[in-house]
Amino acid sequence: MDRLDLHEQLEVSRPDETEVSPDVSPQDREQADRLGAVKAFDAVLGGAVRRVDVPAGLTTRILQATAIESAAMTVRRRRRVMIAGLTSALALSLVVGFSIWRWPERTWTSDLVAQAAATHYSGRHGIPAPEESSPPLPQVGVRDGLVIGYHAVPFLKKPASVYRLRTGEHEAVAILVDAGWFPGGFAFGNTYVDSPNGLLEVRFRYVESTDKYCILIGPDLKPFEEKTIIL
Amino acid sequence: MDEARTEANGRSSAVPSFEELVGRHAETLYRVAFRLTGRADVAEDLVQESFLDAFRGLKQLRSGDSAFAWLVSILRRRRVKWLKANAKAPVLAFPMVDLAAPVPPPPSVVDAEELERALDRLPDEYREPLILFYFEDLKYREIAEALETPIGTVMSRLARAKALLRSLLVNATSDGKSQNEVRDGSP
Repeated sequence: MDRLDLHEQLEVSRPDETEVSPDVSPQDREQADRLGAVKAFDAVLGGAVRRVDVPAGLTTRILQATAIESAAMTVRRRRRVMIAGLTSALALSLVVGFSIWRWPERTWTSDLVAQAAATHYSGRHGIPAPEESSPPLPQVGVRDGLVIGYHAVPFLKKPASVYRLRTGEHEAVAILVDAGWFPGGFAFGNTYVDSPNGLLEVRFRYVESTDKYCILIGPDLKPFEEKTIIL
Repeated sequence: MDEARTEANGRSSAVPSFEELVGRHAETLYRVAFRLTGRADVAEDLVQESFLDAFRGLKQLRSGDSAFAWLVSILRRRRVKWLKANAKAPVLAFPMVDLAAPVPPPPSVVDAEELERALDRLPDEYREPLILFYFEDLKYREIAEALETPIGTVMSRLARAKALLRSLLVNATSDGKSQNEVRDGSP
């Protein structure tokens, strides 16, 4: 009430709201008269303002409209739940799909196989020496000195046996893979591949006894011709 | 149970059900809407839409005490939308009011049309607290809550609104009398 002047206080005075009652002195006749006049006007005006005819059935219409809205809300809620479910399922499917997705393997071609073989040739120094249990290079068993390294590693993501061969100062790598990995129409003719080790020759030989192909790669394979039966 | 919920002022402090809310406040809210818009059809539409909004947001209502103030605040928002949609510019000017002017004796009868015209000439900021003041015996705190305005501002505007409405009605009455006198050939 501090912010209101006396006339404002007289206008808004309410006996039931003591915290906003005006600081009107009961002894002040003028203030009391004004307060009385304001109240008298309020009584007439308040009655007139409140006098509004309410249309019949208003409450019923509101409740009917609400019932319709309630049903619509239920439908909307269900739709939201359904959409959320479908979205979650789709998201989950995508996550699962991506996690198990594998790009289709590249078809083996002469170039692809030669490049992969060249990589193995470059890494021949990492091939450990053969052990007793190491499988012999087919048809080379009697020439023990030829094989100086062996390990079983994937070749183009397929299981393979990789041998490091040496004769004199010449080195080569032989890779044994199942013949079944080569697609029909594969060109098994001799080929060459350019690598950091220079131009490498690549030869493919079928090992009938094991149904495997031996891929031989090296800068010069001629010295091995005399020493290995498969060549 | 209901009695236990009822406070000394006769209002239930518990959150009422929606049906109770409609039963208790629909008619008063309609009267307020009518006085704010001056049109019965618009008032009914606004009240229906307000109750639909209230139904959707019933969880926001914290207690039965503030239910009417809450409904009024919803009605106000609906009315603002209606005013915008209908390009009806509210009266913005704040007319000068002489609060110290003598308070005239009240008329024996207030003409409904004159009252409507007078209310229509009040700026929104005056009309809203005035109408809420005359309805429902809302406390100033509740009016301030409904109007989202500080209580001091509400009371100050209310004081001016009452004085302004009085002067508008008294002038309208005296103009009407003068016209009747001219029509009758009286001096």
